[in-house]
Amino acid sequence: MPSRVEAHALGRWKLVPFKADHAVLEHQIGRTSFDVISGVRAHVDASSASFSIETYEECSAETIEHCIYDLILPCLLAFDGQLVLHGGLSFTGDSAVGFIGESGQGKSTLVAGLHGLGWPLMGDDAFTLELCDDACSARSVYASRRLFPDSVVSLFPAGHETAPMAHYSEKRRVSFSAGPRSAPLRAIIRLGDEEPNIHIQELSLAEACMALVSNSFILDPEDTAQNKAKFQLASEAAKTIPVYDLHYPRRYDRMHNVRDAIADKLGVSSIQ
Amino acid sequence: MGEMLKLTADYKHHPEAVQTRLRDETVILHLQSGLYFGLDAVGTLVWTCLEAGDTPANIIAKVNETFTDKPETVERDLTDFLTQLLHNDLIVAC
Repeated sequence: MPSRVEAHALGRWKLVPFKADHAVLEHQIGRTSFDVISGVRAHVDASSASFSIETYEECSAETIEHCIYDLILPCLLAFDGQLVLHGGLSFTGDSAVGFIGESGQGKSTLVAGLHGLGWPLMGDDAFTLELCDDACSARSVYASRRLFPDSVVSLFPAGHETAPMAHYSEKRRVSFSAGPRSAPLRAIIRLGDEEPNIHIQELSLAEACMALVSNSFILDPEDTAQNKAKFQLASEAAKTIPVYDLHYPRRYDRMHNVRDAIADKLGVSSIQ
Repeated sequence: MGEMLKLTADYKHHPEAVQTRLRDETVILHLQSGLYFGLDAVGTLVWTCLEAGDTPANIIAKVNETFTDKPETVERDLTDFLTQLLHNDLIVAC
């Protein structure tokens, strides 16, 4: 196990050393194997709540840690019946705002920028939703801030300590003082394509449901029971939490305008 | 080319299609393909009529009673919509 993996973050799941017989797990009930990234395969055994990692290529400890936290753990939490969304969480003082969107849309950069503008970052990779009656809270899977080098330079002109995230990515882990791990969720915002002007629009319930489903993790996409459960969770979440589309210019000097526009739309304070 | 829609035939929701109703909209998940489909208010009305056992011809008549669009437009649009449902395995002939 990589030294920096925190066992408590894995919940009921334990990482066990890889054994060759795990290779026969495919297509057995409660067991699944999948390629996490090229050269790294995860083997999950639900019956013993354990998983192991098989590597075909030389992998750094950072890459293994990235695979566990960013790619495997969200799937395990989803398997446990949680709705796990791919995105970041910002804390606005008394509640959280979730940011979802396709890879490359700028989720990590936006929540890192908002952190510098007074909305503490709770995590930038994935978060879970907990629904209770008519309320919803969000919990970051773990406190992360991962940025491409150009974002690091722009957001921290005076420099900042960073560490590699994984051997195949230019992204760097950037240390920070995280906001709370969980908070009541005010809204979820889906990042849309870049536009010169800032534009926020609430989605219909059906659009919201589909946005949540398409930005969520699942351990086995062919498992119809998991798919159905995820769909029901997303449906309940869409009824409880407003979901918006946000279009904005990807310019660091306009980030405070983006924060103000979100604050206005959601009725939260723009400055903590 | 997919199966032709028959206006007087009976259709039902595909057993692999699960749905959730969100006010006047509906989202359908096809469990086998993993694809999602969103229906607006009119689509939801059609989907509900299918569940109640209405044939496409009955549904077209009902929509014509409800909306003021030209009957030929309604028939063309609903035939297209129902054909899409059929070709995406969201409905099957009884």
